[in-house]
Amino acid sequence: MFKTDKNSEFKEAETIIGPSVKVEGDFVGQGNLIVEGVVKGSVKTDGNLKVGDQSKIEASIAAANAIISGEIKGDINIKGDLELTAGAKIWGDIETETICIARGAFFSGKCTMNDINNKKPEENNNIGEKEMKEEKEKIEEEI
Amino acid sequence: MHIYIFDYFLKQKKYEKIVAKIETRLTDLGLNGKNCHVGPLKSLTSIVRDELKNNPKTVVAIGNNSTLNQLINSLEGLPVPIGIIPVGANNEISRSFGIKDEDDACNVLSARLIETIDLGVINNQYFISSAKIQNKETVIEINNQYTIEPTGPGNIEIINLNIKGKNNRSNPRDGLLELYITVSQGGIITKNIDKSLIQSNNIIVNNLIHKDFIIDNSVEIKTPAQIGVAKERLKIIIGRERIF
Repeated sequence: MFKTDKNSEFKEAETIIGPSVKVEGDFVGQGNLIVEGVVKGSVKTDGNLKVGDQSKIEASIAAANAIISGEIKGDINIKGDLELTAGAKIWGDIETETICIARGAFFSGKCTMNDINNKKPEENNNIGEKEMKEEKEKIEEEI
Repeated sequence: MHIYIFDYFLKQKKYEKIVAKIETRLTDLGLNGKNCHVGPLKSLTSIVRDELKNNPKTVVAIGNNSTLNQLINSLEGLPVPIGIIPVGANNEISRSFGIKDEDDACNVLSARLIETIDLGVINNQYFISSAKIQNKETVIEINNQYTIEPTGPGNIEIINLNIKGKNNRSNPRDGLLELYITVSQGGIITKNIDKSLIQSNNIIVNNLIHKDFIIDNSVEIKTPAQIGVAKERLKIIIGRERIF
């Protein structure tokens, strides 16, 4: 589902919310975002969003593309591609262009699909733990 | 005219030869100017304020990170190029500018490669590299939009210029600061460090147990602290081996 160039965009994440921080309020970003911690409020980014399996989000979410592995209580609005991995738990409505739901994912809500007629089938390139690990290693080198 | 400001600690006997060597080398390179020495009755700030009236071509700090921090905070926003000749320990900032030691610094001054960089500002005090604080009982507010609270012990570092080497995100010319939050998890043996990274130019940090920030590894700043960026504020003479 996700293009290869979108995979590489995650490697250049500009914001990382680690598992040991709590964020409250309206997070607005322009680059790629990785969330592994707790967020309450709203999350909006023009870039891509990756929600790690340890994360707990009580917020409405808006992003260009997203891969979700954690818990989200709130509405999700994605312009492009949304992937729910096996660990994802969603309580809220989803609006997206394309969606991929893995076996084992939990989703309770309404799903609205946009512009599906204009979308061409693409190769399925999953973005997973490898990208997350590479990003963490890069940060560790910097600190 | 070049102004050379020798920090107070250089009056120690162990630095006598190094100071003499620097003075000779500057003369050999045709870079001689006015030598000023910080003393108990003459601070670096008062020297800089006096000498700025004569429109110097360059102001050079001879000392360490602390000397450089005092110099940037004494310039009062004037666009005079500055240089650094590192002597002794605590000189990570000059190394990040591609200046290895006092000999190298004299050659760098002679080549006169000038770069304009941003400065971090914390409670109206400038810093070049970073501001650090322990994250215990600390709340961070970003862009007046959201707050971040670390959930365990660790450190908070706000970076303008990352002095720990190349291949990092910090760029002292992008108008942004990098906020790194590290939190230690687990015991002594199985210690795990979680990291967060946020970029911003408007950060407020409040420490409820009144710990201080340390800027440029040398100066303490009280909290609560408002932290931002002074874009293209400093003209500095740097070496070709700089990390940015």
